[in-house]
Amino acid sequence: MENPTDVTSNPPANGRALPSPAQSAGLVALVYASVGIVWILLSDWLLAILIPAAEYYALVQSWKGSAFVLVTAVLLFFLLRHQYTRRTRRTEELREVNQRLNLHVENTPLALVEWDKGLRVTRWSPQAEEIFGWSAAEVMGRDWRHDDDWQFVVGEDRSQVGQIVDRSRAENTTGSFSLNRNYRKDGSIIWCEWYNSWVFDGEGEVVSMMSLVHDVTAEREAVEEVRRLNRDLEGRVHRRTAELAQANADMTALNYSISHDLRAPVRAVLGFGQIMERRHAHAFPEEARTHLGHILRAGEQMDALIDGLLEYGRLEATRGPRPSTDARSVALEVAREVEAALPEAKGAIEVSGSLPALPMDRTDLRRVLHNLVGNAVKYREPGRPMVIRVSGGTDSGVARLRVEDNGPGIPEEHRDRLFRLFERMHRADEVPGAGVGLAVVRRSMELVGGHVVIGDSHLGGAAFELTFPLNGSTTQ
Amino acid sequence: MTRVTAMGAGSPPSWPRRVLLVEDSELDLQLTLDAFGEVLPQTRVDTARSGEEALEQLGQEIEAGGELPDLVLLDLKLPGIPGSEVLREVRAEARTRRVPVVIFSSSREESDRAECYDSGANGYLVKPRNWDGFLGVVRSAGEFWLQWNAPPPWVPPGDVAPSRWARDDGGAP
Repeated sequence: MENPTDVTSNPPANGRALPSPAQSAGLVALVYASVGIVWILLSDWLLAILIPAAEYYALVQSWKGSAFVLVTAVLLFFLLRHQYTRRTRRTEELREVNQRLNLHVENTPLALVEWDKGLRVTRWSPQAEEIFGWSAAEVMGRDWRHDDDWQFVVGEDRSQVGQIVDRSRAENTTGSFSLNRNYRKDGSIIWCEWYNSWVFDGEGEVVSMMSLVHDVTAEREAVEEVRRLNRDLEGRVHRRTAELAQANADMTALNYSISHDLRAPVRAVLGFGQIMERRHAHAFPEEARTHLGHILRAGEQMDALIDGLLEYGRLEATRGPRPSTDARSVALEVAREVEAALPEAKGAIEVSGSLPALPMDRTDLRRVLHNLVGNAVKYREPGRPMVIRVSGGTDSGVARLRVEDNGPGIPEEHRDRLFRLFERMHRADEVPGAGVGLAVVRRSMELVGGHVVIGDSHLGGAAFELTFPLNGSTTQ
Repeated sequence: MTRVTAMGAGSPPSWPRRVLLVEDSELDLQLTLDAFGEVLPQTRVDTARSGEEALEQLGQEIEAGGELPDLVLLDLKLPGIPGSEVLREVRAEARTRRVPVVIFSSSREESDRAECYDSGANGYLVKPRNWDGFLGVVRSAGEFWLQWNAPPPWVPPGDVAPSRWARDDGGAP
């Protein structure tokens, strides 16, 4: 059990305990009695020694009595002055402490309310008037638990608050805390933190209860607002995630549908077309043979489009740890493959001696480089030896890879459009292709948080500049 | 349903005598039949246009005590019962359990392939893009059947490698 704390009569920290009035008076009486007895014993003995002649004795005796009264009066003067000085100084100190305490209480935003033993209001600070709206005069002596005219604690919280106070009293604790809703005078509801302390007298009996009240309505509303926003946000994230999952599922279903349903008629066109070409074309007139050739090429083009669409649809962000792929080895592989596939293309594919490690899956990087180098070969300038260069490096948090050529270049106005699905610069019968390669490149770059732009190469053709983030963020 | 008469009584033929082709698409069916005509002209190809029809045909053959097909070529995407379900039922029925089933699907999805092998498919052929592809598929089906039915190779006496199973017999309870 802690010691009872009396807030208003705490001794000042710098002084010793003051003796009680009885002690002080006793001290004075003791000193007086001691001096009186010593005087009586000593004065007659001294007189007998100093004045042997008996004829003066009576006269001296009366002088001695007067001297005794004078001496003791002086003695009492000093004794009493000493006691009064101590008392007065201590009272001054106490008043000063009280004043400081009151100033402190008045300057805090906390309201101070004091209740008597029956929990009737005995003190109602200006802050309490401010917080609750009632003036001290209006509530003085009132008891919210039994006064039906004073709606002070919100109904649902009444029993809880009452219990807290009662339990604290019954268990003889020094104080209690409650967070509850109070009414203001205008009927509005506020949230308050109540810090209640019992005030005990010298015998440990409860004298009153002192309450400090903190109006936390604004804080609670802010917290509620944050909670509400969080719930909203969670809900929105949840909905978006569900939408995304649905979109992904749709995409997968679309891919499945494309691979099954769209391919079937193409298979029939190519299958029967080829049977016709093998078995009967020799008997066809020249014009019919040409038409059949168109049908078969269109079918093959359609097949390539479906392949591209499926490839594009299958691209997805890599899961798990961030990959790190050596760009040089991939670029060399791709260069060898492209050269092998197109032996008739005269020229060189140069791969720079040092290329950075890139945060992209090896298969994806192969596909990207294959598309870019393949495009450069496909769209080479027929008249001159082809030069394709793959270079790169790292700077300030990003890795760069550059694929450039000495081909015809790409006009400014086509540069953005070309990254879209099925967009092409040439007709399919001029240069074969489905218009998927660059869309795949851009999607692959986006999936690793990077990006790709087309520029001019000092070789004379187009330059594809790929930028990869190295720190896990995006490069946009 | 017509009964199949055995081919020559001597050595077994090096081609499947009868294939059940389960295929709903008219065009794919024609192309496959055409390819069989070119690559395996002596094979008789029965057709079923749905999973129900395929199971019904197999059921009738079992009841009639007839011979089951040497090979079932099964499309996955069928009206009604899907091909994967047909495969599971064929594997669940004791008398059809040993009939080789090769899936013939347009799906290149790895998951479809894995699911079919898990359900007991003997092979998985992707539907081709063109006529050359169909010829290749029928050739593959024929080769698959040949290997499936190949008698064990003749091993000269004394040259027999110790069998793992024989060795295990000693220690196994």
